[in-house]
Amino acid sequence: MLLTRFDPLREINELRRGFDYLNSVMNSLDEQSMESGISAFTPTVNSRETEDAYFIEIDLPGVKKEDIEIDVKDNVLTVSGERKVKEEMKEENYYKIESRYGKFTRSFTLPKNVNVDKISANSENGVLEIKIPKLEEVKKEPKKIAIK
Amino acid sequence: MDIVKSSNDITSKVENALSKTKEVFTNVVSHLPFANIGKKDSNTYNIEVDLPGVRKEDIELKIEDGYLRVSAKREFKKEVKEEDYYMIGSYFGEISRVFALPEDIDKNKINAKFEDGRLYISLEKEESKKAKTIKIK
Repeated sequence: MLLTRFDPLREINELRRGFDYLNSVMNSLDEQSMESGISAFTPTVNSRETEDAYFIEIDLPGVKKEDIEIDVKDNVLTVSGERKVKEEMKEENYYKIESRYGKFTRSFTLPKNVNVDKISANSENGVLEIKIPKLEEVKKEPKKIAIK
Repeated sequence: MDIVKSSNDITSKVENALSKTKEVFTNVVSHLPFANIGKKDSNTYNIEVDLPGVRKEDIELKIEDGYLRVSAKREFKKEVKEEDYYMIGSYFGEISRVFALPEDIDKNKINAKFEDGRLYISLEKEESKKAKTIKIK
């Protein structure tokens, strides 16, 4: 049996390499299962509700407003677009690219009580926020019927 | 006497190792933003870090001992409460990533720009250390 000096730092480095390797294996599995041509990546979404509206927030860092499209058809809202590779990037030698590039799309079924005409969106710090105002419900007063 | 000294050495090495493990786990577990790292030519490097939903004021960029650290905090917008959310896919909280830099980066020539939720950092080697092509007359 070969005796080597106990070096805890070497163990940690091996652990770190293990993580890196695991990470790249997971990433490569991901690429294979994605449908090509339809969507190259799926952005993260947060959704919330306030008294007056529903909000959908989508993380799209590095994507310009012009490259995002929002459509509503029947009662499905679809956000689609493309994260383009910048011209300068093509000239450079990249060591590592972790962001996902290419086309993306996410659809949401809207609840019934929304005002489709007043849907608005704005983009700030790489987050697209879509505001879907609720229709004001006509409050029905309980009706009293007089007995003649 | 020797035994006491070497056991102290071992203790401090183990403590050191434990803090390194904690660092590795912190980097892996508590949010690591995506980064793209590229090299334009042998003298210029570019790092892009995705920081969606973070305000420029909440980003800190520091260079120290050959390491570049990007730290940021992603918070809920003003007047928005966590309870209002149905579904949260993004990470909110402290974000941090450390990059080991190649030698001879000119600390005074680091450029950083924040656009559309992405931080673009460009780095250059010190003049005297740049690779130079020499013309043959």
